[in-house]
Amino acid sequence: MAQTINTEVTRVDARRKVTGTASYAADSIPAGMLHGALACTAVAMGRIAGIDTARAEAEPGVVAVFTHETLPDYKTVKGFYAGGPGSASFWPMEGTEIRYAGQPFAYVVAETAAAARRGADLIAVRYEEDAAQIHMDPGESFIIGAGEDSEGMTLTKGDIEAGLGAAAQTVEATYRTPFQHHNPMEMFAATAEWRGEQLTVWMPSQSVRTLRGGIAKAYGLPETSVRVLSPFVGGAFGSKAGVTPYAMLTIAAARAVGAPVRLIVTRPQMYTVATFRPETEQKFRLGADADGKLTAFEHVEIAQTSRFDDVVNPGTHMTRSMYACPNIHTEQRLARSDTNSGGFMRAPNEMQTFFGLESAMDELAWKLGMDPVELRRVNDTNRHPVKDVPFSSRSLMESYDAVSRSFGWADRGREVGSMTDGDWLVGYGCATATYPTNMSPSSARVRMQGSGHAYVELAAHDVGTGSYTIFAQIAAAQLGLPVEAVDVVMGEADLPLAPIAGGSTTAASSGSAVHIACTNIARGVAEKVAAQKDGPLAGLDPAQITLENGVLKGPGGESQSLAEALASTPMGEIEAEGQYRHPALTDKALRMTYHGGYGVAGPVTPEMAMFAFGAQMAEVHVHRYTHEIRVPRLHGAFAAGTWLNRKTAHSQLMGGMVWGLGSALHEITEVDTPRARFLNANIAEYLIPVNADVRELRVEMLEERDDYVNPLGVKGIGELGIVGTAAAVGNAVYHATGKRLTAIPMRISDIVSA
Amino acid sequence: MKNFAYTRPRSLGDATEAAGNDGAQIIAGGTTMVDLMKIGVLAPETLVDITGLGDLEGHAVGTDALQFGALARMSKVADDPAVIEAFPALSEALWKAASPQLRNAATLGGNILQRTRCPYFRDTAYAQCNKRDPGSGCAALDGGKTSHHAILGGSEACVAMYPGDFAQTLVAFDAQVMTRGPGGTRTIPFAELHLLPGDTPHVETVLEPGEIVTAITLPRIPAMANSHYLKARDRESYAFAAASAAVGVEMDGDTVRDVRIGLGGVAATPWRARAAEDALRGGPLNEETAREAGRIAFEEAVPLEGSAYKMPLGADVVAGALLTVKSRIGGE
Amino acid sequence: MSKRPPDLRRPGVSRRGFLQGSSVVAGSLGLAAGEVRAAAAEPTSDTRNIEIKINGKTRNMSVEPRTTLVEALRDTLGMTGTKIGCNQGQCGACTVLLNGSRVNSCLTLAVMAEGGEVVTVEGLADPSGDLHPMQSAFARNDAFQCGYCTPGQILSAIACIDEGHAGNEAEIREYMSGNLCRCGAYPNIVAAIVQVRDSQQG
Repeated sequence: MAQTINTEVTRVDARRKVTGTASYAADSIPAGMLHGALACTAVAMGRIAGIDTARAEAEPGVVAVFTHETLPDYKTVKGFYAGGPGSASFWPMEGTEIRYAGQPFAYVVAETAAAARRGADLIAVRYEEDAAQIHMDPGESFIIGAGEDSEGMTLTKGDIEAGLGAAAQTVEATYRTPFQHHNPMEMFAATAEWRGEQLTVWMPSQSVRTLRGGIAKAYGLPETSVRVLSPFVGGAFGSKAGVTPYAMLTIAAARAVGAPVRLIVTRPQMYTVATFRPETEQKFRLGADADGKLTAFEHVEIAQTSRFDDVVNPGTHMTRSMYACPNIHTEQRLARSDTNSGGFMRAPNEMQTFFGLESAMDELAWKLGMDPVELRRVNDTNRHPVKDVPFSSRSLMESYDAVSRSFGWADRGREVGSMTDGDWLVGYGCATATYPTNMSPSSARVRMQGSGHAYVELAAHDVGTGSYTIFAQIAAAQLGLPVEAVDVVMGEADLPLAPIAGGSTTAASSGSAVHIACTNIARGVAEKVAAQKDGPLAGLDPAQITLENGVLKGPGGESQSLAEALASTPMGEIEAEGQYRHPALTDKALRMTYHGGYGVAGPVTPEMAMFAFGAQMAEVHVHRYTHEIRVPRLHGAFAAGTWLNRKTAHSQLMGGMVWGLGSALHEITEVDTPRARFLNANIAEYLIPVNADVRELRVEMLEERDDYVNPLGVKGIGELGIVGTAAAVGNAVYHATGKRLTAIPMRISDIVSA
Repeated sequence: MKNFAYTRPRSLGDATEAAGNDGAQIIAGGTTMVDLMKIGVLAPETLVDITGLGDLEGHAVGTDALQFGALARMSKVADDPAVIEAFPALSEALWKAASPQLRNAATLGGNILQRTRCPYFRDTAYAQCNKRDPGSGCAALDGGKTSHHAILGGSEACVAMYPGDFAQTLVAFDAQVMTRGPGGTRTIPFAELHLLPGDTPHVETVLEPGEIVTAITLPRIPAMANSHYLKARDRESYAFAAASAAVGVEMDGDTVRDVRIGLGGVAATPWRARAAEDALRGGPLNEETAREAGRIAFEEAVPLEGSAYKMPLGADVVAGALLTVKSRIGGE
Repeated sequence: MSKRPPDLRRPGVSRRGFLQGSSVVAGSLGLAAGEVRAAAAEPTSDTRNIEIKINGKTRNMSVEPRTTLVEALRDTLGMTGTKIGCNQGQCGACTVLLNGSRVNSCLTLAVMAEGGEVVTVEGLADPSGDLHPMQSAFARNDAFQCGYCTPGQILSAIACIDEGHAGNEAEIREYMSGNLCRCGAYPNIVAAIVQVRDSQQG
């Protein structure tokens, strides 16, 4: 059998995706389906004083209009940051209270989507408006919890002031990152169909089990009465993880009208009915000796959060894991403002914190007169700077060396403004990428037939990452089958446990479970054939039969393919489950995952620190007259253990870098301060990179072996590629222009004004 | 979207009559109209679809003039080698706008009438918008974010920016607009088609109810052949201008005989920088004079807090566009 | 009331009363739901019967003037291969070919497409199931991740070559910029188009 791991395998779902037959949630149209639409508040704070639905109800095609007073059986769940599955702790339409702009206040059901939306437009609402503040005030920030806690939100190691005092050079800088929205291409959608007490929900989800569990609990139904289907997800990036109000409203509305209802949230409404990346402020104080060795490392992150949740994505945990330093001080702070709750958006803290950290490191390199790559080299470490355990593998400098070669780093001009290309000022910049390796528990069920076909089933998700394909590859490799002989079924909550498609956990965690399930199949077959009278393996001690690339082998060189062996057994078919649990996973984390939460081992266990690393380099052009910033070349080199599929892994890293480019130059959710509203809530003025923005983008995938992280040696890569890009671009802007932009995105207006 | 009646007249006369009725709006490519209807900014009772008027689709590049039917599609005109040869800035202004799909649908007549992207105009959740709801105020000027607003031609009632690209070439090169209305046909200098917001920002053009743009013509002048549309924008494609300039130059030896400068991304209407043109005419064109022209082009600008960057940016874009044209002439 | 489609309510049950009603009443609408489809097929004074040739087959349908082409495709005809990514003409996910040119079907009124010819992703593979070369090239080059923008990308890519805008990679990038891909598959999309262009020339 040909090797399938670490090769380029075309996606097993490619045909469905290029023919339009991949079924996304809104593509399922149950018989008799009606259409839902949300009406959302104009004001950000206050109360609903009155709603007049008469015109909406009179609109042809409108079936029903629901408000907080008239929607029966509307259920809610606890928010994620309160230990529940909800996207936020505050739920709209439970009463008159308004806590953020664009908060749903009515739900219209109609025969067509157009009639439903028109009905929503026709609802007249009166507000009692209170003042609202949408930007955080960093001066009012606070630390979650209290006191000194080395595991938690503050950390002090050594003496930071002494470290700064001993430094040859210091950098003190503050960087800012904006509100951003995930904007998956697939709009949020939910379709609910009740048949008696049986509920089916079609909804794009990063966690079908979270969704099912939340809904079942809210309605007091057994989980077997709730089907959640999400076979294809049109991008998620963190936006489709929780139980959202638009889902629960649709479920309630469908029950009330006695017909299936589908809601497609409009693109502008997507900015307020789910989560986003909160704005942050990153304060650094770095000190280094004359050789560049860090003597002091201080990082204070202040992140925006809502009034009703403590949305914390602890970025200081990441930055303090990066470079060797004897004196470290970090603080994780939050500041409240009047928005819905933020959440996770691809590399939920790493994008922001590494823009800050890696910009500060660049400033330090310039002050030291040092090659910024060499600055990273002298501060590289094979032990975790705080926990003092070894990294299970760490190929940071291998990544820098590889990307330096591919990029031609040595050819750069050494002075600011020393390179031009016609009317363009040219600069080079580099930055570190890293992402924690988080291991979730996962199960998988594999069924193999003697005819040479296998089925893999698990409640995991393919949000575009390629999970369908890599699970087929893992099973094919183990069972000795061609990839196309393996069918993978996912995206259904009834299937075996799999984690949230978040934190870059799926490939490593669920992939390990598939691997174990296949091993269990082999063991079962070995026992059967060893007990038989005839056959090459008959009479052997099953414990001595091993599986190698789909072939069962005995101690004396006896061998038989797994499929043949299976075919020779009376049942000719076998099923096995595999359960994966990292040895360092706590019982609490295990329970969390089974209850739909995010339970992981890592990145730092009592023995090891598990992270993936990479390095990025950008060539930036800044136009003398238009002041446009363009990135004609973006190179990255990454090491993340075993590459399961070099084609889809390449796409993951490339896509991450495109995201990084977007954060560097384009992405910001602009704000109307007086009315506390997100202003550019669309996909024309909220800029994301278009095809023309991505020119030479090169991804180097380094070989790395890591036997500690999991049986397959895999580290997650869904988020690694975005980390560091913005700093690499910003550092190159400085090299080109001498202007240090300390906030992203870096736009024409910023370069002109700097 | 509010439902509406739909009619597709077969003659210009029928179209004019239908479009003159209360609550009627003309639709052609639909890229602005359908968008604004979806977001509730426009809610016509009747849509008069003029795409059946096939004789408005053509365009011609003559020795004396360029003529464009109002229903000519942006993509078709942008790709015509004769247009590219005769008036490169016009082709550039077309293909640097929007996306291929939008340019395939959008017509030139509709393009010149496209509406502002001011977020306060486009989002009906904002009660204040003098353009959408006369007399209601201006949310942008009431503490709003103004980084994409006009620094030229705005008023105390409205600082919305004209977002288009193509119109800058028309205003700078003395285009004329042919119309047919209930009162017959007329010719309007392009520079007089759009109205400054003043106290009545909801009245954007001089067109009367039922008056349909039928064609656009441009006298062919030497500066057209040496023209360029420079568009500064935050992404490489499919973005509105932070600032743009449509320029054309005719040299007589080392002296500027004729120069045209249209400004985009900075003004309430398509904008011609006549003072900057005057400063250049009769003198040399070099980095210094180009930069001076850029400065003069924004002498009367009234920047808001968020849009102050557009003044130096716009000046640089004018200079850059002029110098690009100069270098092309020099290269010949 | 003349414009109103047939009422779903039981005679004598007011809408308001219905909304406040018990589950027994709600159940009655469950039965009535089957009538929704039948009712929709019966044109009211607002709807128009139109004929559009879709993927070579003439399709008749009844639509409101405000029905967009993508809604007609997806909701009226059940052809869900065409996706909606923004519904505002900003992302290109809904791209179809209308009379041979690529347009955003979310900004195209179905009534304005009457008598026209539309090609959607469902019409690209030949009847035997062989993929269109652009579909194969997208699959081979991993020119997508989540796949949601892919039908629009593929139709746009076919048009990009047909229009003569695939001369070099820079031109392809520019003329594919009307199709947003949030997964960031752009370089692979360009590679797929280059392959198809070259095979057509060869």
